[in-house]
Amino acid sequence: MNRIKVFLLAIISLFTTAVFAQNKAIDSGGQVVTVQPKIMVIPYTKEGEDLRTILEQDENKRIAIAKIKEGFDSRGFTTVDFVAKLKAAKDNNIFTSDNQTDIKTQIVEMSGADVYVQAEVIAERGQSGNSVKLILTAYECSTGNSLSNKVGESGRFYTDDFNKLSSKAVESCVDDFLNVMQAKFTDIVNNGKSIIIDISFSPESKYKMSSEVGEDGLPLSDVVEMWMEENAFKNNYHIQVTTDVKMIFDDVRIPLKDQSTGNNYNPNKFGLEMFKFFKKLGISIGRDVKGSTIYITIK
Amino acid sequence: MKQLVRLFVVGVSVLMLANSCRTIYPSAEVNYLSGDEQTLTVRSVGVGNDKEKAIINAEQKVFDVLFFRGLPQSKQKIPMVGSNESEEKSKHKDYFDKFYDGRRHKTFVMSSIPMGKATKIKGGQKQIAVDVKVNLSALRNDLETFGVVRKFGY
Repeated sequence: MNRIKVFLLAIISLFTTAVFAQNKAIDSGGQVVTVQPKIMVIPYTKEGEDLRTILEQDENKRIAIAKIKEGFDSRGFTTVDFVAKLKAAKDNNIFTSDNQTDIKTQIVEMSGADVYVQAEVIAERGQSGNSVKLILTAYECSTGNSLSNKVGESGRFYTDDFNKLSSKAVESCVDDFLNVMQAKFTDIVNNGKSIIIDISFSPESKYKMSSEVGEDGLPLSDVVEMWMEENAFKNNYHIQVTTDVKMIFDDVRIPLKDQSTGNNYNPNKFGLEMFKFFKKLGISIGRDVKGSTIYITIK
Repeated sequence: MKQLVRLFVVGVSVLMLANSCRTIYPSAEVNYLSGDEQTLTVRSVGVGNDKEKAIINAEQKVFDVLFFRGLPQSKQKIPMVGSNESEEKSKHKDYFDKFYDGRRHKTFVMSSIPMGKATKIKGGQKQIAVDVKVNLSALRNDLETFGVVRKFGY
């Protein structure tokens, strides 16, 4: 009888260990690697230009993009390949509109890029020689915050080799461009990442921003702001608009790392904190997270 | 008379003590000459007790400017490490001690060519202008490897 008991206990202990222990195959020994931003380099397109063919037709743009990516590579950073994403997008038929601006937005969204670098290549012919100018701009996809801007010039040369001129134009500014970008990344590490929070109401909701909620009976918008004051990283937030039917925080800083555990932190986790806050108030919400934007719909 | 001498000695001592407490910051006589993606050539003016020390001083000034000030006209316009040099140097004391006192900076100097002869200046010291070529990409990698600066990204 005792033997059976011991055998059963052994089986149970083995089972619980197997269920609750961390998977040894992926045990990193507590190491946390910071999730890096995904960066994509794309060509600048004017309104009506076909983004799909512009790279294929213009080799100067291809060279400029390759050189910019080379700059990122030299800093040990891997970028998302725009051409590969473009092909994948073509294969998956993600393009649903003929509007080129929309296609660009769709590619950026599909790629999951956090930052995109836009390169405008301007080739100039002149009597005193030919030159290439380059305008480089880096944005945060979700917030539109500018991360770095530089203008590069090849200088004028008596040559028709625009490929070489494009290359020289990139070389003239890419290091400086990356240095400024890194300074902005350092600011993000120290002061938090910027996210957008959009709070609205479902049509059947009984609440409005002026509805009095909580124990103190304060207006909902004020209660939300007071919560944000306490929970935005380093009290850093900005309200874009507050009306009776919506409230938009266009810049709320969240830390890159969970300040208590040291694990990576993201907008989804911040969204969960908001969910808990509304639940405490007895308000039911819907929560969607798209990139760095949290959409809260009060039911 | 004795009192006058005593007063003079005390006065001189106080003056010397005050001078020794004053921090002497290095000058930033470093000017951009040329550069490409991986290297940077500058003209730097160094001061030292002899020519060799003046050259070393000129070389180290280049790194001081690159680390804590940034070099206008070059591709490294913003400081590689940070503007607060005393804080950064104390945070990474080992690295900077080896870099400057251990003369590890030499491993990033591709060439160091004195421009003319060393001239005598005030205090019996010598001054010399040196064209210094720095391996900038190796320097950045080194700073990243030893954790003085973060790698590109978050």
